[in-house]
Amino acid sequence: MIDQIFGVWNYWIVFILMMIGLYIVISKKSLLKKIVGLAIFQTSVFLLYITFGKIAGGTAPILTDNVNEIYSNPLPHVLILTAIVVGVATTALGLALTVRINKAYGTINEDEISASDLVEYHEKYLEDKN
Amino acid sequence: MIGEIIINAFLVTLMLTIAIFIINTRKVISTILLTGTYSLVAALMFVSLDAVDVAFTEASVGAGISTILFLAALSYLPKEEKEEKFNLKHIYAICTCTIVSGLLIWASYDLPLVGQLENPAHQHLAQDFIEGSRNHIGIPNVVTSILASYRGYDTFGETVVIYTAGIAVLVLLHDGVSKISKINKEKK
Amino acid sequence: MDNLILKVCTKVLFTPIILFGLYVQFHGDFGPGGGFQAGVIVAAAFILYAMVFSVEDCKVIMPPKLNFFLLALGAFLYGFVGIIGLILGDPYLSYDVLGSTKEAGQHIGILLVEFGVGLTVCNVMISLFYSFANFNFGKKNND
Repeated sequence: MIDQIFGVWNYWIVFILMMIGLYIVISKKSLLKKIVGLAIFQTSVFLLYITFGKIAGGTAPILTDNVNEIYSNPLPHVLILTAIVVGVATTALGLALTVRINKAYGTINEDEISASDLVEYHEKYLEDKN
Repeated sequence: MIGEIIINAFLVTLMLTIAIFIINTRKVISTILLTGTYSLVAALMFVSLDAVDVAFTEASVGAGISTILFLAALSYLPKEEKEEKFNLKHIYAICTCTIVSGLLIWASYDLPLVGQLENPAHQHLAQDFIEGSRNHIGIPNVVTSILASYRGYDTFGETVVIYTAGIAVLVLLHDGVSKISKINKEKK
Repeated sequence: MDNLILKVCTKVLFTPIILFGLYVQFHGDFGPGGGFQAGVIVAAAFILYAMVFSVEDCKVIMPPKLNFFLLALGAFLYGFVGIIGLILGDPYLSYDVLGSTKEAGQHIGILLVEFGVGLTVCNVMISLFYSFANFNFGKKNND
């Protein structure tokens, strides 16, 4: 019974974490908070992959002299290792864009940015009309 | 065995708690520090799931450098988010997320249980890689031998992606704009 | 920052951090570690120095031009190791012909490739920190 519950417990938590990340990306207006939401989503996917690679009673995939040793699956580890570093590089790119947007608009709130875009568009429209 | 399960359950629940706290924090500095803690707990989680290389990377990159970059960016950004009333859009978002997570949890009953040796993920390539790393490459750390040799193309691509992202940030934040405006002023 | 304890501690810690980074880099074949982690650790040493002293002081020990050069050199080294194999008559990025035996070739290839990855990651992280620290916010864009 307890094995049955904990066999899927990790999956449940991963899915809930994923949806928390998605909720932050959808509903929060601050661009910085959206990047944090993406980071949460990303980490939950990493956790899902590593969970697939786990073998109960196995060890880390570093070879020992014992021939009968069971190793956890190394392939998801490789995929996620590179993904983490790429993730931080793309996060930095997002932060750089946010900093530039803040310099141009004076705000990082989504609604205010689109409002000031509308005002600018409207002024241009009036100028063209005259 | 039972101890492993308890540690596992404790760590994932801790991650869930931190993530729920992140949703409603309005001070940006606490958001950033909570994100760093989240990454650190994720690294502990990776250790308990036998992925030592990944845990090492997550602890140094996710909890270390990422937090520093967030703090460096924060010095140019507003320190607090604007207060927002709970409105219809939030209800739509909550409904969407609840439905999708319900569907995913329903689907999770078709996934193999965690940690079984006979799971499909462990049947094909993994054994070949472990044997090949012992006999052909001769390096004890299987993760390194897959990373650099078996999947060398993949890692080359990732390195180029990191390089490109670095160049893109340099272009975005470079001081070139002020230099151009200085030249324009001299022309005038 | 004008704190004597921080400055002395940074000076003492700077070399051991880089040494630890090199250990992680070259011990990646036998234990956890490798280019990605080592690059970040070495970059952390430079970032610590830049935070405690100043970015200008850090630019003396790691000039931006050298930084850009090493940034490109790492990715180039990775691609070049593959091309050496190609010239010696093997598929791209297959290291068997680099050494006297197949195993020795694999060892040399993996060591060089990981070194390239480490160089790129380290210098990307340092240049990210430089560009975030130097971003000029004083003037608005439209003046």
